[in-house]
Amino acid sequence: MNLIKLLLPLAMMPILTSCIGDEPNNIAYMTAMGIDKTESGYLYTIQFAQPTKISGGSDEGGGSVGNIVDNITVEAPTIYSAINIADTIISKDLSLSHAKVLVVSEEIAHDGIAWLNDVIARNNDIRPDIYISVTENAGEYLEEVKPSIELNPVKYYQLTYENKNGSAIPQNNAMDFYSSYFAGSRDCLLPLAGIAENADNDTTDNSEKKSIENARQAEAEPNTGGFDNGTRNYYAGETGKRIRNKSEVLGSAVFSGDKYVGKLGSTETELHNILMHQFTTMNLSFYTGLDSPLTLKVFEKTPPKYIINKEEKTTEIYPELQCELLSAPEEYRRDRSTKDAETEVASMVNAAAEDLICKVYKEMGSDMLGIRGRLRKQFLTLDEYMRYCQSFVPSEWSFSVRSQINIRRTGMTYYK
Amino acid sequence: MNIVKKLFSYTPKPSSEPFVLSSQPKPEYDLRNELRIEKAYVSSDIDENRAYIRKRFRIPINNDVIMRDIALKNGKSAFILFYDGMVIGEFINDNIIQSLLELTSSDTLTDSELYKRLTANSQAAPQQDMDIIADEVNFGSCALFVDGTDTAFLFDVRGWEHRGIDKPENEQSIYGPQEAFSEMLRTNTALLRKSIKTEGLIARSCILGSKSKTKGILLYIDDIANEKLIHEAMRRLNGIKADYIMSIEQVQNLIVDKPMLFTPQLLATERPDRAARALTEGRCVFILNGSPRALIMPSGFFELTHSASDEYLAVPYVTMSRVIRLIGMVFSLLLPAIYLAMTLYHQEIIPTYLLYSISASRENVPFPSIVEMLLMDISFELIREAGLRMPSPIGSTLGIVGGLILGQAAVSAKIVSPIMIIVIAITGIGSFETADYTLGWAHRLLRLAFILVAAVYGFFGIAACIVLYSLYLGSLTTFGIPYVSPVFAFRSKSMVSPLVAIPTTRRERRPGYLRTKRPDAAPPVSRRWQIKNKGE
Amino acid sequence: MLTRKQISSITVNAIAVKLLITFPHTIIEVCKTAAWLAAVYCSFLIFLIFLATVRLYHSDRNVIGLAEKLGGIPLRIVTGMIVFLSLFANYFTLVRIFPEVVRLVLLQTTYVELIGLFFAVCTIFGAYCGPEAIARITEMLLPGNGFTFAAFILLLIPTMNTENIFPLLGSGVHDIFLGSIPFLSVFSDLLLLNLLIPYMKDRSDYRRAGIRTAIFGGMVASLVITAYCFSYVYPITKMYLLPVYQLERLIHLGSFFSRLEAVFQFIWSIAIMLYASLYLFVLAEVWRETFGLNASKPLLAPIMLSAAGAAFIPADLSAAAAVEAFIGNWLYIPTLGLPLVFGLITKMFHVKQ
Repeated sequence: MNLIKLLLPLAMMPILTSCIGDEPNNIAYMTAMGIDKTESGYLYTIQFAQPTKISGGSDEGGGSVGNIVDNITVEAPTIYSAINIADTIISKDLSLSHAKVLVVSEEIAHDGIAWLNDVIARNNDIRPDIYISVTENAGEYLEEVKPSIELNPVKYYQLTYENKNGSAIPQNNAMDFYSSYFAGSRDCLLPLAGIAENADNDTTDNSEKKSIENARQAEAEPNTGGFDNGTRNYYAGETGKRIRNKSEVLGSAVFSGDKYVGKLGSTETELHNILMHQFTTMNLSFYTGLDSPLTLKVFEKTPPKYIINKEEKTTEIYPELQCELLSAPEEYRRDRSTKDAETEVASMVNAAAEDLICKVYKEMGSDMLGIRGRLRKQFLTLDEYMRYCQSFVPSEWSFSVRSQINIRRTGMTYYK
Repeated sequence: MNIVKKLFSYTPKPSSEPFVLSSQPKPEYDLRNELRIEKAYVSSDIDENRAYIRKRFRIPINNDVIMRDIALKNGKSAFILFYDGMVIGEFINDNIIQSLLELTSSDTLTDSELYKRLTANSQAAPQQDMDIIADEVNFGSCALFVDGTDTAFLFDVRGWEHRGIDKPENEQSIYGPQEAFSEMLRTNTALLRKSIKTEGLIARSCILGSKSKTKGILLYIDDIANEKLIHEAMRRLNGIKADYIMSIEQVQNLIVDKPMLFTPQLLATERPDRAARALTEGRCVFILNGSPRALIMPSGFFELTHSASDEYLAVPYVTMSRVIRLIGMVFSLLLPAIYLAMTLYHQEIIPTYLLYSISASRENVPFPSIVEMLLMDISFELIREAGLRMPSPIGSTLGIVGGLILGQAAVSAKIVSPIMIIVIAITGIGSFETADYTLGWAHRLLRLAFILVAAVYGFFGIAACIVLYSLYLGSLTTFGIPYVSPVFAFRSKSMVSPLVAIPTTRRERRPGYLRTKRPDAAPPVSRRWQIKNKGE
Repeated sequence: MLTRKQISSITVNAIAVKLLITFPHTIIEVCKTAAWLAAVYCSFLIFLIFLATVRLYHSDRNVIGLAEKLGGIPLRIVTGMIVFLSLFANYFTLVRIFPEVVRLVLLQTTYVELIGLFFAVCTIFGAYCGPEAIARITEMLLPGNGFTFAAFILLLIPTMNTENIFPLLGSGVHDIFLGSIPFLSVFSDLLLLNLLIPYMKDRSDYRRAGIRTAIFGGMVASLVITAYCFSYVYPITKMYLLPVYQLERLIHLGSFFSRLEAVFQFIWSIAIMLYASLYLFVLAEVWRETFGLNASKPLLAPIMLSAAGAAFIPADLSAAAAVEAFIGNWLYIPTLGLPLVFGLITKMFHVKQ
């Protein structure tokens, strides 16, 4: 026991070295990082929170709506070099453990983001459920993030990227992308981010109170098909906004492997979420040839069933949607029944879904539905499966969608 | 080389401590030693007795010793000896003096007839040994010496002023008896006998302290308690060699296995019902004259966490209450350390919103977290300690001052952060949750160790300290039983449960580790009225 | 003397907690997506091996005592050294990997040597307290650890995807049933059970405690590997150095609580320090018994220091994991084989006890 009496105080010696960890107020918490490409290298925009602005300092009271985040942009060859430089510039130590979003520019995404996945996988600081989104200019996007109804920037990102209601954003985070890419099971879609542009090219400071109208709103084409009829197929940055936060996340970036090959609008992303069971509810409008559209609130209790024939390279998809009837034309009260509505809506969903799949698989060459991953069950050993995957070409596959629509609730009024 | 040898050497502890004869101190001068050339006995000559008593009790210097001469009607003379203030005067007047004066002149009674027939006192005994007579008189008895008899008579007429039976102050319970032990030994034994009305309840006495001669009683139920336990308890009690033993806490420190241990090893209770329950489980209870507490031996760690009200509530409430108490104790021990570890090393656990609050609130605080924590902890302890000594009229003022100092003012002056106040406050509340006062003290001490370790090694340090402390407790024994007992014993039928309460209907067996003579405490079906066609 | 419940607690803890810190990579590399199947198979196999062992092994002595009885001092020394070296090889990898894991998960800025020193001191102290104390505390804390483990698995359910375990047979039947045999090294701590026979009150405790250990240990092994295979898809499962840590990173309770890996690591650290203390004690006892020494406590510190010295020979965590994988390829042979062989010998020669 004499040895213990010597060794235990020895083991406690580190307390004299003042190596007692980092105080929380000596750390700057990164909330997001943006990566752009320049001619000479990469431009990293590091966004970190200002806790005193968020929580109001050591006095009582909460924070104020204002600059709750700050950005610093550095040019560096790698992420860690950028963090090194930023760490030197910012007085506090940077911590990545609360970062919510990594935004990459389209240029970088075109070249491939597998290297980014490796960074995320190796680093024990970065959360595995961090989001990766694609935008035109990452630095500008982060500069324009000015949450108006949240005091906490992390909460803003979390609520935005994890929004499963409405759901015009794919629900894939870095971990999903990473596993899908390395497993070769599917090509993940990532959220698309953007900035709304000012309509009148007013270059004065668009802060706080000034409302803006988006110059790019007209670029988004309205759906002409029955599915979500009339709704514009927005990409991020195209919605009309009258609030000061110009940043938005809408639509998805399509990848083939780790390379960005195209983008989908909001309506298309909604369809993707239906096919991949990545939403909770959404409100959809259907044009059935009558004066007003049929509006349904859509739920999906079970994932769609996929019947895949690997020899014939065909897939049949059977999504099952439960709906609540929110509004309907007068004819549905008089002549038509909900059964008619179900049939019509189903045909619209099928058509729209098949168009989308055709666009993504044939034009973009992306396996967004994860057919490769779903084929795993049809092989007994991994070697056979890997051999098959090497010969998988998305454009050779044909798809048919047979959705089943059940209008379970018709609201407070009676329908047949 | 010697240092190295000493570090790595190992000397197994001998099974019994070897006796070491070292130089003895010079004995003190004692008058009685002069007198006691040989053992003194009562003489048949009353004058000789009178002279001896005067010398021994230093009469008339010793002011409150009363020697009252009585002339019996049969011509004999007698005297009684007692301490004024320690006896009930009416008993002496009515039962002793009155009876003696009623003797007629023709009565020639023998010694035994004298006290059997003529002294109307319930407790009387003949005695010839002067030492015993002196001890008994010192303890409040009255001694009667009669001329012509070589026997004195001792009458138990004790009646000094004492506190009555009060409500328990530190072990309050909404349900159950509201009696507490008092300082009187006989009152305390009577309280126990009131609950356990069996002749098997044995009260073995012992005298502690060569000068104070404090009387103590070890109680146990003869047909339940393990003989070895009783023997060991008596051995330890009789083995106490000290001049003055004034309180039961002193006795506790002298009989436990490791007196320097952080955690208490015996339960001291002021509730007779708790002591009675311990007796029925097969434990021993020790009470000391002048102390309003009883020692229950043996006691384990989990018994110290139990409260008096556990016996009087239904199982779900008791379990919940124990869980809350345990959570409070864990908070009192670990919360500051966990907070420190989380904020210094493991910020990723903290939800982001909370982390910003903590970070912002600490922005203007000049001290590191550990200094802030120790500052607040010590301030809290200062206020707590001062509160014990504060006279009650201004006790509430202290609470206000303490709250102001610790709370608002410190935060406003940016000495500490608001969240630290919350942590310390919850820790303080948790320490009050601890049922046993000494266990609460133990946790307060250990908390400092945990704080230091957490500041250096974070969660890992806390985990290591938990392991070290648990293993150390696990290696202890108290009166031959392990100090910690299993926590989860599913479908247990024991009378005692560490955490989850056992329904009264299932408490069929005494704790196995007590190795009682009768392990079964109740039949398998204690609610016989439930069995069809079987009634009382 | 240890009760049956205490013995089962310490051995279940030994097997379960080892899996939560040092994970056998070989099973993933060999069996690929069928690693979970191989784990279930190995759990069943260890149960059968142990059943066979207890049927054959009828003795109040452990293997070293039995070796002395059969072959005198030379055989005792040989057997003792084999046992000691096997256990030591298992131990020193733990002494290296655990501080590294703590450094990675809990204390990123602290030197690993300091963590190792603190760990060593605590382990020595724990071993000094003796097997009764360790067993008592383990018995007390094991249900809490079990509850945490159950919560860990339940919280992983939302992250599981049944498609990840396909193709079902992974690299093939041969690899599942033969290639996964080295995974039995995970259960090598069953030898501790045999070495603790002198501390058991009743001979039947060995059988019953061992069966419980085999069942619970197998369950934990199967659950951990199954959860890992379901949560991560094949090539990813091969890439991670600390699989259980990666599983912990997936857990989040709503949007408020996430990154609970430090909490889990805190709880596993308690369990593993109890295990390390017991292991050190057993190592000292083995040495004492092998060479017929009087006391084992003076050996605790030297053995721990030797283990720590050997532990820091690998340059980093990856090298340590590689050493551990190498040792795991053969560790099951002496640890599972010795009781079986000695049991068989005693049965064959009808040695009366």
